[in-house]
Amino acid sequence: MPREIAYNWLDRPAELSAQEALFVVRLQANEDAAYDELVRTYNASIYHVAFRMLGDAAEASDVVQEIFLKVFRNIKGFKGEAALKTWIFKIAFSEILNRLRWWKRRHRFATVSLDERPNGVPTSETVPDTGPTPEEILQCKEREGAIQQALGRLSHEHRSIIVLRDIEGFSYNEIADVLGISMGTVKSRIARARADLKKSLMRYLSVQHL
Amino acid sequence: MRTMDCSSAQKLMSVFIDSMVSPAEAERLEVHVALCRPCHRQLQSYKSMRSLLASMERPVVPEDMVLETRVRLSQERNKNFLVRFENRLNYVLRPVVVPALFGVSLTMLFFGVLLGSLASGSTVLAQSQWSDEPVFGLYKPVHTTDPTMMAFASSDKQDLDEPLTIETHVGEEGRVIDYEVLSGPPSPEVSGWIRETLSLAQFTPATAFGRPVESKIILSFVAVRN
Repeated sequence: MPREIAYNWLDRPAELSAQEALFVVRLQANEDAAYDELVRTYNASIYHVAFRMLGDAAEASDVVQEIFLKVFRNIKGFKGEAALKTWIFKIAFSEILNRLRWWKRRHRFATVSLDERPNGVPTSETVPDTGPTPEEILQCKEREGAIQQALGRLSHEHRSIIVLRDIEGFSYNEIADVLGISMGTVKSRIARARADLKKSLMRYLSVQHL
Repeated sequence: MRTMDCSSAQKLMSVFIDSMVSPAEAERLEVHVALCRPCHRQLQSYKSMRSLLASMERPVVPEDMVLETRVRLSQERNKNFLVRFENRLNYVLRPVVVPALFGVSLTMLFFGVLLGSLASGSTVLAQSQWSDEPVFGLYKPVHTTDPTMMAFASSDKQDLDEPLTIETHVGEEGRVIDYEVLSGPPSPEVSGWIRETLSLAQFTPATAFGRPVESKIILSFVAVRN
């Protein structure tokens, strides 16, 4: 189901709310319930980003655990200059990009099987009795696979910005904070990344003529 | 209003679909794409791609990942907790150790002085020292638990201004055969007192291989006053 992505040209930077500040204090106090809440709140979005960036369910799963450990190890140093979400994703992207660089050094390339669902479970085992027809499911899987492959062909920089903006719906300011780049760089990089990606996905794009 | 060329329009399209252009720029772009077919198609493809990406299925989070994350996080937090507890303990104890030791020493000293002051009169303590006979295997040196010596030790009649040391020669029967005052007050009163006491004293003689033998013992007497 398509997600709502907020678009606002003013794009105010996200700040730490009072509620979030309290939550950070609880994390810094090493409170059990706070860490449960942290995992519950962020595990899906971090996993999603990791999966889209790495293209591999097992690797994504592994890196998510590392990210949470890093969040725990560094939470004392969180001063609240940005929203907690931005800070967490900054750690997440640092970890994910490190892993991608590690892969690159070993000339390993991720491949996505069209027979697999994004969570790694073969499609044949998960097709429900009702709902979309097998053809529709196949088309959907093919499209998803094509997008994932197109993402995989992008540079790490372009892939990061597409995942953050067009898949996760981060604002330009949040992207600037997460990737540690200026707003101007965010705008130019996202334009170049979209232009690159568009070439690979042309057959899936519907264009209405004047 | 100034018109926009295709190159400028295409540069603006990415930020336009994110509503990150000013209202004036947005209006100029809209006017341009309404008149320019290639730019219109270009803008449509950008919008379509954004919808395509936003419609991607979110991968289901593996249940074991959530569980493993919780477990690893818990292990890390507990590990850290132990380290932190140890550090905190050190941090708390370190400044306390020196004053605590000082306090204990002071208390012991205080009780020592207090107990000393509670004792009445002068007390003479006898301390036996092993003679310089060889100590080996089956040799047992001379010693005493004679009450005479205790009576002698607790006597407050003698005025010992300086420690008294006597080398005593003890026979096989445990009686004093001979003695020599090594140091002590030279008064006749003390000499008489030594003679009287040692003539009555009974020692357990030294033994070598189970048989009593002659031996020497050094006796020291020190006056403790309050």
